Amino acid sequence: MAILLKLRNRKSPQLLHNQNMAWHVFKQNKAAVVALLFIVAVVLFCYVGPWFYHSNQTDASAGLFFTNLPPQRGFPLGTDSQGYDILGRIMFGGQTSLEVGLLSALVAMTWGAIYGLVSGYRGGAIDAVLMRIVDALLSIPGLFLLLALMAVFSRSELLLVLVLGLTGWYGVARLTRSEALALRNREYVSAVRSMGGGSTRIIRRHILPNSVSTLITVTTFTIGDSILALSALGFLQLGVPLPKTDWGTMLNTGIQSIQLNQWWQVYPVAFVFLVLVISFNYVGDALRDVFEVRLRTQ
Amino acid sequence: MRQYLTRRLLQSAVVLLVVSFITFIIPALFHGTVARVILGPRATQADIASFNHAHFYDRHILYQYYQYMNGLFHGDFGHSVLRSTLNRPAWDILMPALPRTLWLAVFPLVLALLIAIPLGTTQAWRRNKPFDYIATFMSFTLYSTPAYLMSILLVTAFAINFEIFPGLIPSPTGDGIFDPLIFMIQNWRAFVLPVGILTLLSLAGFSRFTRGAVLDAIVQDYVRTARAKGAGNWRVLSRHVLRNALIPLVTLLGLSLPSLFAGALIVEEVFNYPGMGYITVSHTIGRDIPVVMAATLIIAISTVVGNLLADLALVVADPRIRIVSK
Repeated sequence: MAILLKLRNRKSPQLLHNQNMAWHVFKQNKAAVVALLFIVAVVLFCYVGPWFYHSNQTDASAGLFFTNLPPQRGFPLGTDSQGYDILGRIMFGGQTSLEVGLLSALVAMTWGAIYGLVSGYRGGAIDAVLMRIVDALLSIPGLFLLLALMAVFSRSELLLVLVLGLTGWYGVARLTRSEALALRNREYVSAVRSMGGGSTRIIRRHILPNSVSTLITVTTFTIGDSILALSALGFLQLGVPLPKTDWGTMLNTGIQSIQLNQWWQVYPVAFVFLVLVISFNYVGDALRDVFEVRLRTQ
Repeated sequence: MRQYLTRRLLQSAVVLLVVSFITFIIPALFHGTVARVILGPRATQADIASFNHAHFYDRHILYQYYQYMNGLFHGDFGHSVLRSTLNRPAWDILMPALPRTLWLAVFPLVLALLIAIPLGTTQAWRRNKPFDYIATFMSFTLYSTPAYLMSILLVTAFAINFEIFPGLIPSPTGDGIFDPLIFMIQNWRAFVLPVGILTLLSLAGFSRFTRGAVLDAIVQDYVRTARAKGAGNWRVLSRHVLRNALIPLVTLLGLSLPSLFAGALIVEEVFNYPGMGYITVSHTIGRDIPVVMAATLIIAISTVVGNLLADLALVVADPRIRIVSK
């Protein structure tokens, strides 16, 4: 629903052929540029950071002597209740959060796009059935469906990717469907059809490329939403199993110590995480403007 | 109008049918687990086979679905397989929790609307001014803040650093439909933080929507006409812009129920309030599949009923629906 909300007003989607023009429009949104820089910075921080900043993240016994230390020399952001260095842990957990977020968004996008294209292009009874299924899934709160799936399967990173992907595609499917519905009656599609082009060709060569702008925008929002959902699972102790960790699990361990005023276990990771999710929203917003013809002309 | 309502009712029935199939099929693919959990690790293959036979688990999947639906229509949502609540009907476990969650969701919904409509309208009226930028940033922040993080921050601030409101809800008493409401009023101090958190969470979406809808409406021809006839700002806003812009908000109310229930789940978990979410989480950790599925189904039914109510309200609010689809 959130995605649908953000993408309302989209009327005439069109992929800009002129890349410079797209960048020009994007650049005008200063907040989005800052957000994009922040996303790049976080990715570098999580993946390149560990090359320069070495810390113990897996050896539980080595951490025993260093539990709950406040920030000090050697531990710039202190340690958690297991004795792991927080700064290094934000990088370590961030890798999982980013990977699961991105991969599950890709799962959601692929599945949602196929589903929406078929539904919108076929129309009629198939469309009605497929859309009622989406309605049904939308009426189950995401977190409950996630919990239902987590109760049945055993926890793993792959499962999280699949489960988050399979609960995050409704918005993509609905938007792609409306796109396909609008596009299939265009003149150039009937032209292809009259020249003997089959459905596969029409979808692959004409409808899909014209829906790319919508898909890119939705996926940006979906990555943010996936990272959010993963952290919620982590908070409910259903996140990535040990020895790995993710930001939600870190926050869960962190809040148990916040009553002792050990702020360093919660605020740094919460800050990085929150600003990252907000950044994805801003970038998605700017991308929508880039692709939105109507707004661009104003 | 009758046609519209019949169509909506039929749609809801289909949606519920699909939901029930989902909550049926997920555990049905894993019957071995149920038998294992109930019979214990020492059960033989023969025991498991006879257990599966007794529960029709060896029959065709469609027959099983028929049995499941038959049970649902007779109020049988399955039985718990958790050791502490073994064989208790899922409905007995969840029934006291449902009104707690519903009442916990109603107050934030109303409060969020009362704040979001004026806020979003002001933003649209003064768009691209500092106030709009600040409010936009705040809604994005609120929207991106997960429920649990907001709970942590607010509980830390108001329950630990400044002990203004309690950080836990006391154990509720009474199981009736209105008992949770009475309980909430009696212990209003304990509910300030949970209701506040849920309000803030719904606020962002509503105010963004109102802003967009009002922005769309103020460029319409009927607004120009009203202005040309000499209507002042206030009259244009209240009689022409808001009347048209806010109608879709009713639908949005219904659509926001799933995220509201998800938020309630987190809040219940944080504040130890045994509503639907709290019970679902504890039974998920214990792998009590039937109860988790029953909870999912009941929450989905509540959502569908909520959406249906929103559509009924839409008929009342929007004369076009009454006239167009007679």
